[in-house]
Amino acid sequence: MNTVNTFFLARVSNFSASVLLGALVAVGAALHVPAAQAQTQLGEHFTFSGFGTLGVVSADTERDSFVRNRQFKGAKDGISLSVDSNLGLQVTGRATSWLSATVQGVYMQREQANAQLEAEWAFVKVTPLEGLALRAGRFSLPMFLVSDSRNVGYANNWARPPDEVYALALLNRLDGADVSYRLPLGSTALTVTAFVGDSDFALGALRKAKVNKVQGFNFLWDADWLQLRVGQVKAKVPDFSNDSYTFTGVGATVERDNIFAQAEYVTRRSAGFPANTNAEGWYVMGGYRFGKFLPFVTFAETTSQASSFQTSGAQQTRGVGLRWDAFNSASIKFQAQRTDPQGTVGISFTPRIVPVRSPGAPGGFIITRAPAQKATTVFSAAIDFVF
Amino acid sequence: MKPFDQFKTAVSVAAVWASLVGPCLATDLVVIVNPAAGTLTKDQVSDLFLGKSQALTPLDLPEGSPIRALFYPKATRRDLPQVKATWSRIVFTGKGQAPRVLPDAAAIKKAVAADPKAIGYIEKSALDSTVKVAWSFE
Repeated sequence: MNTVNTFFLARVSNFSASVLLGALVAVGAALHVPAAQAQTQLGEHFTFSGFGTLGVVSADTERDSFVRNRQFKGAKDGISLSVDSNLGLQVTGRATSWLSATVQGVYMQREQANAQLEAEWAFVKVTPLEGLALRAGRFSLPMFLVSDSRNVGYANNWARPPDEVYALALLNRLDGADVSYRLPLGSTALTVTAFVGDSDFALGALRKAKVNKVQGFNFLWDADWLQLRVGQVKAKVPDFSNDSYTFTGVGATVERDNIFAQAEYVTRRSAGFPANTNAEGWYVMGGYRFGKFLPFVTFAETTSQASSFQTSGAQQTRGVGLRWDAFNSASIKFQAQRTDPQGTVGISFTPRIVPVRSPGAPGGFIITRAPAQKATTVFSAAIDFVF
Repeated sequence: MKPFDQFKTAVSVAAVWASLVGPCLATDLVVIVNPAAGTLTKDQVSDLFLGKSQALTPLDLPEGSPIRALFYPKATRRDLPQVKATWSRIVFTGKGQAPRVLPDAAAIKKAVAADPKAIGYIEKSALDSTVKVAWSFE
């Protein structure tokens, strides 16, 4: 019993106790406020809202960790709270009916050594005409069907976005500007977005590589029960011989009666380093709602070129899960999956690079790719809430 | 199962379903707007209450309200938890605000009568001349 307690406490202390406490308080609030709304008015001009997930993940890895979206650390031979847990706070200020600003900070485990609070969104928005919106500042790149709300557990049915697709993208955020126009087409609508700016991606836990000349587009067609999306991001990476990086994706969501289905396919291309960086990924997800319960199954796969040093390897995940809308502003999720890196470094595992002592090399170390990972069974349980 | 047994089962299932759903169907709902505003199509109502269109400002009844529980599946063909998840996607991407919640039909009517851009839903029996019907669920 003592070893179990020590084991559990060691894992819990890895993820800041203060976040845990804050999340528990927020969960308690969301569960007990009877007429809970997903936002609070602060005076006439400001709206405050938040979201969070308290999630536990268990993976039967031995030497390495199961992570999500290139996190620095995760679930290793036991449980982890840092893979899925997060807390997001958002404030929107409205000066007039056409001018607003939004800031969203999210506390979660990313590529850095420890979980930290970062501004995911910080933009000014102008809506001069019905359907037309211009934004400047920081926001997420529209690389996926749910790029914008990938961190909001409550807004999605899965326990986490499939890494086979969502972890392929090296860029997450854009510092720049975008313009969006929603064009009604009969009973459907087409939203067209174009954007430019700069970005960055993590090189390990301490360094970031700058990315500039980011530009791209996104088309989203929205009918009553069907949503289709296609988009592309192009960028230049100065630190890597000004390489051209291209990320393209298509996706579809079906929500009709009690049926829920979603699928996406993405490709990542590098002009200068195709052997290390070119990859594809896709997933299919299907579920059926029975009142407050939505059981679902997922299948995801990613492939990359065989290479001595890969940005990501191959991986396949088969999963089943259940979303239970047990409360007004919170949902409970269970998910069980088998993730198989097929003898490669995979994409949901860490470490991704391994420094090996080599006396003759500059600095005394050479960096090799991480060893091949084993197939892993992952169980997760989470409570997602909004307030 | 013999065909007649199947028929009996089907009838009893239908009777149970009707007894559960029947009382709900008896409540007519209307979507109301300011007298200065125009009428809407069902698709437009659905878009407004799912945050797909920001042309008007939607108003909600409280979460426990049976009228709200009736309205959303009828208007948007989605369950309440799905609607909530859809709105959380809108709110947490800075694209819009979730509908403001008002306590009852009287408060909804008052808000709609005062704002040409407001839209709400009430039971038909609460309708009066201070507001205009934009869409009626018959």
